[in-house]
Amino acid sequence: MDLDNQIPENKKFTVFNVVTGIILAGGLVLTVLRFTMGLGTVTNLDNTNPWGIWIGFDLLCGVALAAGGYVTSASCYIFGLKRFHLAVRPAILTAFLGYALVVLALHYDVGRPWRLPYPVFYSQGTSSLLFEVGLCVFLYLTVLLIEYSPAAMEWLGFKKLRNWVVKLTLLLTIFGVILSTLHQSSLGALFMIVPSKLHPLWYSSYLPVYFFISSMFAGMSMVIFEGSLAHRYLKYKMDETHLKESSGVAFGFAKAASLVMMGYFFIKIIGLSIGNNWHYLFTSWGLWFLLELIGFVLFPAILYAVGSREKNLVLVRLAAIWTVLGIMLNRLNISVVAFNWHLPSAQRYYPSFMEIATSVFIVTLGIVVYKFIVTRMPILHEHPDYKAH
Amino acid sequence: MNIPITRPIREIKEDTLETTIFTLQDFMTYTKGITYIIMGGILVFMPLFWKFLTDGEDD
Repeated sequence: MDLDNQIPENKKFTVFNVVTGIILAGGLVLTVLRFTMGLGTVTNLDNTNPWGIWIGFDLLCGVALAAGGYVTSASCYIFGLKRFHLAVRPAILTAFLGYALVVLALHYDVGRPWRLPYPVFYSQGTSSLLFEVGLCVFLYLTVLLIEYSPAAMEWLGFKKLRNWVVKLTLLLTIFGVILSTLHQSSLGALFMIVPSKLHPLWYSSYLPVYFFISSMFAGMSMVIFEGSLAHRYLKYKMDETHLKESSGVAFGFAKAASLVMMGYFFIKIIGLSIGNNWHYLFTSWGLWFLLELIGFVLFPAILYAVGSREKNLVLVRLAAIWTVLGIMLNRLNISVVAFNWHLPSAQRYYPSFMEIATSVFIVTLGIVVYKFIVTRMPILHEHPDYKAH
Repeated sequence: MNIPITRPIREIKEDTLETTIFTLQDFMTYTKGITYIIMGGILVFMPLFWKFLTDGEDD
């Protein structure tokens, strides 16, 4: 059966189309406002709080949750766990769209989009972590585009070019892992410059390690979460192999995520101990920190462990959603909530409605593009003309 | 605790049961000591957790 051309009855006014249409129209208005009237019109950012949710959510959460690309391709092509092969294409597509949207969102924060190539090609700030992040994101986005391209080429019928690109898979995977290791950790390292602004419970010299390790289980959780959504809403695009083996992928990643999360939980405790920050745990900030660490790391780690042991897919999917929320909470705590924590509330940053709406617009744009690609290209199924590579 | 600054440090340390930290050396000794104890706990816990995760698997 040719699943490429199988699109369900075309109804224009579905709930999904209407809601996304309204969000996208609103987002376009906000985009015009942002780029014609400046940051002050649409955001609550100021000189005290120059980074808001466009960095905390769109960039930090976006990059962490797009880690499924390198995690899945490394599992399959480097560690030889071929049972994860069917998850590679959806994960690479999510990562590619995730990074593309991160770059798009960065334009809203930074402005002057025509200067995007400057840090890489014109004026390199080689002593800055931001330069490293920028360079890595630029290179990794290129790697992800090439890794994703065989699906588009199969759809378009570019057989020779597709076969040539597929030969680069292992090289691209290795390059992707190196680049991800570099920039995932560097995003955490960015906050090492603000020991006096970030609350001691979140500030640590291990921040780069925390960011990198948490990106691993963020990526795995995102693959499980996305797989469960695809299973529910795009089942008609899945071939028999995907339908039969997707639960095996979920259990495999659940076990790995559980182990990594438990390790992450303990290195966070070690960070507390090395900094001798135990006394902060008994403050209101400490309760918030414990909610993040126990409620959104330890608890889902146990859920994953029990779910994978008992082969309970519902529990695993619940743990995946919980973990994704936990990653968002962690990144937002570091960049927004526990940042400038000592300031009086009048000087603290609270995102404006228009900032939140812009973030919703960017996420919605990602969902629409993902749906467009998945309903047309061989992402959730194999193209009948090509065997598994 | 109100500690008179004219008293020798050794005496103050004895009075406060070594909990007052005066130097980076003291700080590192204290925090590393606690961390090593935690590490010991982790080294015992993690293999047990791994056993719990993989128990009964046939692959």
